[in-house]
Amino acid sequence: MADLGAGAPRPEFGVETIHLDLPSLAGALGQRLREAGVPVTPERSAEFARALTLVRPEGRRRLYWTARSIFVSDRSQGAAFDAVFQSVFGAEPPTEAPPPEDAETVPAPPDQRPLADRRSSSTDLASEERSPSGRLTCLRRHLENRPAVLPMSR
Amino acid sequence: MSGAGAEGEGGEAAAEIRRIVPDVETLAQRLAAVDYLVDEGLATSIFLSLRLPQPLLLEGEAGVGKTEAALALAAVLETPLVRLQCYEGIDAAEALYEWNYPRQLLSIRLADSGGRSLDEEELFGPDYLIQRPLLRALEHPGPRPAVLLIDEIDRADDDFEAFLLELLADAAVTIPELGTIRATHPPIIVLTSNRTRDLHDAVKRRCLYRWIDYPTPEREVEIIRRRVKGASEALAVQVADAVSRMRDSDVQKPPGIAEAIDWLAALEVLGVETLDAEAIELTLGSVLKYDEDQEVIRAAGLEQLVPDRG
Repeated sequence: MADLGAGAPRPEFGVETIHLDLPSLAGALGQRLREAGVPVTPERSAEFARALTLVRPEGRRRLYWTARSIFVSDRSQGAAFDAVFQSVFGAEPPTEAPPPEDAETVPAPPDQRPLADRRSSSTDLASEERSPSGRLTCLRRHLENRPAVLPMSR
Repeated sequence: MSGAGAEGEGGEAAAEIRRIVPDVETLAQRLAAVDYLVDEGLATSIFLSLRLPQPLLLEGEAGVGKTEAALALAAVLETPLVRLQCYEGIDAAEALYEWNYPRQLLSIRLADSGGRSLDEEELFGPDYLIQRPLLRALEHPGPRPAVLLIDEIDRADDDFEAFLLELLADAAVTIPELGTIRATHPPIIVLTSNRTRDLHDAVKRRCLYRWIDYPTPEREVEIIRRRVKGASEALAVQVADAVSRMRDSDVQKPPGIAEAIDWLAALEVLGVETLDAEAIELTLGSVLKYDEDQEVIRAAGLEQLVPDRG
């Protein structure tokens, strides 16, 4: 773990964006996780918003680990979390560990219906899914344009 | 969720931790400096656990380095590690405090023979209190909080789990004779579980969760070479590879990282340069601690543990 890229410039753009979109991002991700069977309390969503201000993820990988640290509370939820993360952020999650083969509980299958059909099942899903200019969509687009996070040896 | 909300962002303890652990990269570097190597996921979880703050629940097979995470954290923060080893039947007296009954009796005897009278207040004062790990962690004076390791919580009973949660949420404890003792520096809490049973939902709600897997062979080579100074990379690679094969076999107690380190150290002491069936036979006891497991591996053929050369 020699060079963690301490000298690498810290892009400011992402930080600003995330600050503006904190509540909607946390709320929407929490909602989608609940729909996929991951138990998410409002406290967890609030905590996620705080975690983002502490970690300031500059790329999707760091965002992934931040969200996963907060929302996943059992290893059986890993697969469901990954599916939601991928559907929201369009990125292959950087999974370190293969899915458990002997998990004691079976994660809920990811929701594979098209977005339009899902609206009916969600009570107050943030409006970004309906309007393409929604903040989550914006953030997602920004994240896609971001450079990869700082290198970190495994 | 964070029981330490009263401390606020400006509390002394929080400021100290912010200073030592300003970001995820720095934390990973500092952990590596005490020979604990983390991947990005574990680094992020530990970072958030420190900074939110929130207890961290680490689950994983025995020997993947859960306990070592707490040890490394205490080393990084230069703060005491207070360890509570859980077992079936553990109760508050063993975890929190109890009165030093023999000493109380002795004092009463002495006072009686000397014609003095002892009042109850004296007998139930701090001099007669035996502090167990939880109380020690709560009373740690700072400037940085102690690291409280609640090891193998899955071995304790449900009742104890509930008692623990209450205590941790308040970071305070009431001793009837002494009053309420409130932590000035609420401890950093790391819980470990080998997942021998499912923990209560309330525990999981309160904690950040992280499953720790066996390290990849590449990382394991890095870890064991840090611990066995002077071991050749070639030998470490063979050991990591063989250990990984043992974990995939039918042994009852798969070797953990500590066993891989022991094994490499044993081979090193014997001057082994290349792992072969003979060297494995000589040192098998240092990596597999049960006769039955050694038999399983022998029956499968020791040469199976060494990749074909040539």
